[in-house]
Amino acid sequence: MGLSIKNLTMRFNEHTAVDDLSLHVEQGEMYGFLGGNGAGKTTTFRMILNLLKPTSGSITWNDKHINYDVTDMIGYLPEDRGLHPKLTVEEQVTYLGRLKGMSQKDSKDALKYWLKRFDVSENFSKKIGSLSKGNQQKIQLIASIIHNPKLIILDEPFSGLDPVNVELLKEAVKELNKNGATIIFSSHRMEHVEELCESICILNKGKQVLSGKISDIKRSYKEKRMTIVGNYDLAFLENAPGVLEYTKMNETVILKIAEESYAKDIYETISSLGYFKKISVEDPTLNEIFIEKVGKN
Amino acid sequence: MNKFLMILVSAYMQKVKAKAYIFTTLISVALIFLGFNFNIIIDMFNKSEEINTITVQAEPKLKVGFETLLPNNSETIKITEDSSNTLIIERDQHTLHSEVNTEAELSSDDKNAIQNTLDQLHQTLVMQENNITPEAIAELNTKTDLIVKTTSEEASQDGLGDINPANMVIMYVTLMLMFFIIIGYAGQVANDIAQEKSSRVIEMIVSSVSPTTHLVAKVSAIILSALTQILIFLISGYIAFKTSNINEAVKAFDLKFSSDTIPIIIICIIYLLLGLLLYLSLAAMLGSFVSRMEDLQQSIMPLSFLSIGGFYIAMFSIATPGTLLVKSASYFPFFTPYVMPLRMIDPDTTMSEQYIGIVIMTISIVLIIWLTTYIYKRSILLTEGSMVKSIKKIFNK
Repeated sequence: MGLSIKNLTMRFNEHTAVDDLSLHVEQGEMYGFLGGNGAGKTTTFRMILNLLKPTSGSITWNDKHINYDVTDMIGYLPEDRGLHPKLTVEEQVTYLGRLKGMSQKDSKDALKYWLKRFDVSENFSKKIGSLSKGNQQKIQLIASIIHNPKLIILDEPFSGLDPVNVELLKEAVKELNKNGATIIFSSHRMEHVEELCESICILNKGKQVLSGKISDIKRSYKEKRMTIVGNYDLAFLENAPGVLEYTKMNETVILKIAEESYAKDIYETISSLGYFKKISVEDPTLNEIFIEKVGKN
Repeated sequence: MNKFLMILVSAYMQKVKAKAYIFTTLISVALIFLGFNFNIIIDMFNKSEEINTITVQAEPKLKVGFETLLPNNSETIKITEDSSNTLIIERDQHTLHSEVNTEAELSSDDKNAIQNTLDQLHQTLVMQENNITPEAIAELNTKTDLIVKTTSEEASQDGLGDINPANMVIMYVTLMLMFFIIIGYAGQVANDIAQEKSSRVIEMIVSSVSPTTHLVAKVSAIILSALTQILIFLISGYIAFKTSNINEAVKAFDLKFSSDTIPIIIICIIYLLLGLLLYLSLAAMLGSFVSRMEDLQQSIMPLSFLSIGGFYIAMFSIATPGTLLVKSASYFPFFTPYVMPLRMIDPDTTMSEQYIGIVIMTISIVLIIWLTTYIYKRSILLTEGSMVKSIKKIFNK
């Protein structure tokens, strides 16, 4: 069950946009796609939606190939935002709702609910062209989830929104997920992915460099981050065994160590110096893992 | 409701409810009614009144001559002694000089009547002075006969000889209607397609419904709205024809429908529909090349050229529907809808040629729709770069 992608490859002439991608998203899961610009995220989404035909490989949703018989169960927010500027919010959203097989009345009711939810009820009969960019984006998100889809694909849902609206949107996404929807989304913002997703896939230039549960990925990552805050000269740690990187900012020293065991030696060495405000050992952040994986390749 | 019907109905309703559509329809209907009542309107603006009386100031001989000749030319003008309108006639050795002073503006009918009377008066005077008999004048005016006979059969077919004028009028109306409907609605199709693409909403639409279904439903809706408009024009034209007194005027032209009038109308309607389908599908294809609205006009240029080409060939050949140009152009798919119905008024065109034309059109329409959906599917997600780049990308894959 869920979404399965096997050996998916997409070539445009000489350029390989997606190279042998395989992953599985469980039903009801929230899954994050990470990758720099041109990593192949949007191309992958378009292939999932059957908008592009893959060069090779297969995509199945609940063991069935995705075609226009099942698209009513899928909601999609494209990265290229845009709605018909001359239509009103009501006309545009109910039209898109009806394209997903809803009745006029149901889509209108659902639209009212979501507008209230996003605190923009006053826009119901306004022309889309007259709305701010952020509000247009909210309307477009509403249009993509109005039919209560089982699988939701959101391409960069948070880009271009202010922090307040990002929170509103995150809450909505969480609620949809709680109600049973499988959600796949892409983002450049690691903290959003870390907060929302259980599993991720990092793409770089079409290749899958990492995938799996975030907790497993972090655990399997031997390198740790050690933060030391105290008023001492710790420059000697730069050459201590196991230290890979040394960064100093005012009173704070951040060390990247090869393994957790080295932390013990360092702790013992520095604790003789006296009082420290903080000494901690943490798993690397997703940001660090991403930069390392993508930077290396 | 099935998605095709849903798109069709909502696109159709959106079209016919649009202000532009309602206004152009109303204005055209108003123009149709005005056109059929033009004689009444011309009379309303034609302020120059006919004069009833005139006083002639001239030497007695000229005055008497004018008085006797005037009734031949005008039944309304009477000669009195105290009219406010005066005509002064003077004669030197060879010519008559005259001057009319009127209160109101002199109508062209009255002016002609006076002019003709003066000419006749002059002629009479010259005849009398030179002793020329009226018979001699009549003999002088006899025209020489010229009879043209041609032995070649081809040549006689090019002429207007056998063409029924009523059928020619039908052709004119069909060609005009076809040209304006095609140009107008092709622009709309291209505009709609390009707008959906450039506003990026298309990606959401095609994630719900197949591009082919969407495209065909959209184009069908526009064709239906065009047909609605044509129907409104025809009905209002019929009502205007029946209610105005222009049918008197038409009778004066001696327009009579012949036995092939009904087949001609049927063929015209068939080609109007086929032409709309062909050109609107082409417009959809051209519209889908565009990723910015600024490029739209440029992209539909080829369509305009083809349409103008077909229209002009047909228009200029309306009196000579048997020429080689017409025959060959009638088999070129983009000219067929304009030129093939024209060949109906040429008695030498067989029905089988018309069927060939319909088959050519049908094949072309299927090909164009296939090509359009092929291109549409590939081009809707290409939103950057120029048209030429898009075209390259579409066919490279």
